[in-house]
Amino acid sequence: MTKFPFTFCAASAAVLSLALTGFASAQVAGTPGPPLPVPDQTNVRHDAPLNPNLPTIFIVGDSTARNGADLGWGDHFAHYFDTTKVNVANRAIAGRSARSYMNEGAWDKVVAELKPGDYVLLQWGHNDGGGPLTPSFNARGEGKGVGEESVDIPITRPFTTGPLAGKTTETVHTYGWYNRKYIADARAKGATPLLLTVTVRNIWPMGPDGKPHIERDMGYRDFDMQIAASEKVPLIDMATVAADKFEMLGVQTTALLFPIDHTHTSPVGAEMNAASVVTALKSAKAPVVQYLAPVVGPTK
Amino acid sequence: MSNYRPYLAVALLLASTTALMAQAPAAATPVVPDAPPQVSVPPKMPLNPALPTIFVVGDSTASNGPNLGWGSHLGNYFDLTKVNVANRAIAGRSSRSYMDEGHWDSTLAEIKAGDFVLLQWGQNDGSDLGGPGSRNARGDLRGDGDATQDVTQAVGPKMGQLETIHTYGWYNRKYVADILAKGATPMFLSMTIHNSWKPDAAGTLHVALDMRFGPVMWKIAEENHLAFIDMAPVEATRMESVGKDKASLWFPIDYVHTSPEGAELNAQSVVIALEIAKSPLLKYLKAPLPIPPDVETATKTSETALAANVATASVTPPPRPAPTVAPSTDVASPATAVPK
Repeated sequence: MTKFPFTFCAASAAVLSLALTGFASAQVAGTPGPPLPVPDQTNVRHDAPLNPNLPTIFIVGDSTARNGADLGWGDHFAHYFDTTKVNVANRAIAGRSARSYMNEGAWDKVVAELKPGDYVLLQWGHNDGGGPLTPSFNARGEGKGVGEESVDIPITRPFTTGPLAGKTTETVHTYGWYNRKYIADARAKGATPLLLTVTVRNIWPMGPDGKPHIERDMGYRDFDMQIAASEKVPLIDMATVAADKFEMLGVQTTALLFPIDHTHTSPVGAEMNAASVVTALKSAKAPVVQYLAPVVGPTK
Repeated sequence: MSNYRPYLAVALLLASTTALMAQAPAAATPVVPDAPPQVSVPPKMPLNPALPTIFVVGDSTASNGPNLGWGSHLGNYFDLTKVNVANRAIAGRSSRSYMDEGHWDSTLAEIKAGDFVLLQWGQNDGSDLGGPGSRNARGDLRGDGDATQDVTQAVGPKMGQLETIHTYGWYNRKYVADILAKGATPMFLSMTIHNSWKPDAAGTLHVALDMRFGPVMWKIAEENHLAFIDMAPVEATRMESVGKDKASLWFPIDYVHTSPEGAELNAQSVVIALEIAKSPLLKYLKAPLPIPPDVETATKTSETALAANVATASVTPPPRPAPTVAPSTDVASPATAVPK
């Protein structure tokens, strides 16, 4: 409760810093630039040490999970869990796609932290837009789909860190390929990967009934389902849970939860998305639910 | 405090053996009230904006004139220098009609981040859906899920309009979404107990726990990781411990509505259920109430029963045909008495 006055102040400060941290489009994959400033997290600090005796739930994704202080759902997630039994580590970074998070070495750092018994929540899509892979492909996105095709492109601004450091060409793969690599890497460390559907955007196309209905799929749903099926990972469908809530709120109230743009939420919207992830984890009977704090009334 | 208007209506209710569900009757002639003075927080008392607020949203069992609903007694147990207690329940309402009539919009406008909302629906949710001959059109579709039924309303705020009626679960999920979107915390309460006794195999009389609406509430709470404050087994244990004859004194109006004393005891049941749930709301209590023997066991039994009945209670039956003749005008037939 005491966190709200603070977080609303923090929210406005965070809006100011969006040019640096918030917008997915501000960051071009393959051209890392200077390290991004990370504001203090009001929930669990990004650099909070993990208790080595406990399993850890890692969140790997983009600005919808971690966006300034308190604007991503990953910073509202730990309070649902019994943190005497599990660590919650939000390792999402604003502006990243499945490809750019790997290219800059962020994933290597998470892999180094992973230990057997940990969990990795993977959520990509907002910055992954791409198209057919051709030799002229150099956008931040990936090849559309889940296939094995790839293309080599020249690296125009060299990486100083990460797997591409010192390289002059990058092999660009599909959305599916990157996700399969996350899954395989996590499993190789004895951790359990879980694939989340992408957060819902505040976009309301007209439905066949002549009424606006919130967008439930920004184009990755089928890919996520295919990846989950082929790799046998649980698909945590938080998008449907969140969309059901927004649909009940209606266009006007939902808009209050998206004060920045149609992708990024307020702190309250982030809290709602975190709750939707919890609901989706329960619905999928994901093993991490064993670490949920018992329902003892309000969890805030 | 005693110059407080719903008094007359309550006195009428008390005097009447037929008045039932809720719609507070208009006072025709002044009647000397025999109810004790309001013991708790007047409904229109301003809320201290610096404090969190516990809202009560429900029907006549929580708010039935001064003193007859448990929500009017709940403030007695909380330290009102630390928390506001705001009883926003309205007699006669269902989860649907509280929204249809705009009451939810008014309450929602008061709710701020960090507040708590106790939701308790069911007593009036089994009424008719409206249409020709309907008296109050407050029922919703049974169960949970996306089923809807369009009904042209003959009475009420949507008179003359085609209203899309949703399931009981849908309305409750909408309350949850609206509360979460305010940064507040929704919590469910099981329904209050009816003074209705049935013998078991050994001939011992028992009161029944609601298994029609409770399992849907319990399921929504479970899915959303929200508190389900199970006051019903607390109340049932108390009633069964004193027996039918004495417990019936708490129900002088009908088998749903309590006396002021019954309402006070129900408020205590809510507090005890919060204690069993280890709710963080306990930090706002003046003092904890002792948890009576057998209540924790009864609560576990109740939860097992709720979980076991989720599937049955979630089913929405096929649409009911609109009534072609006016139903009986007998106001004594309680809407919740007849299973649909």
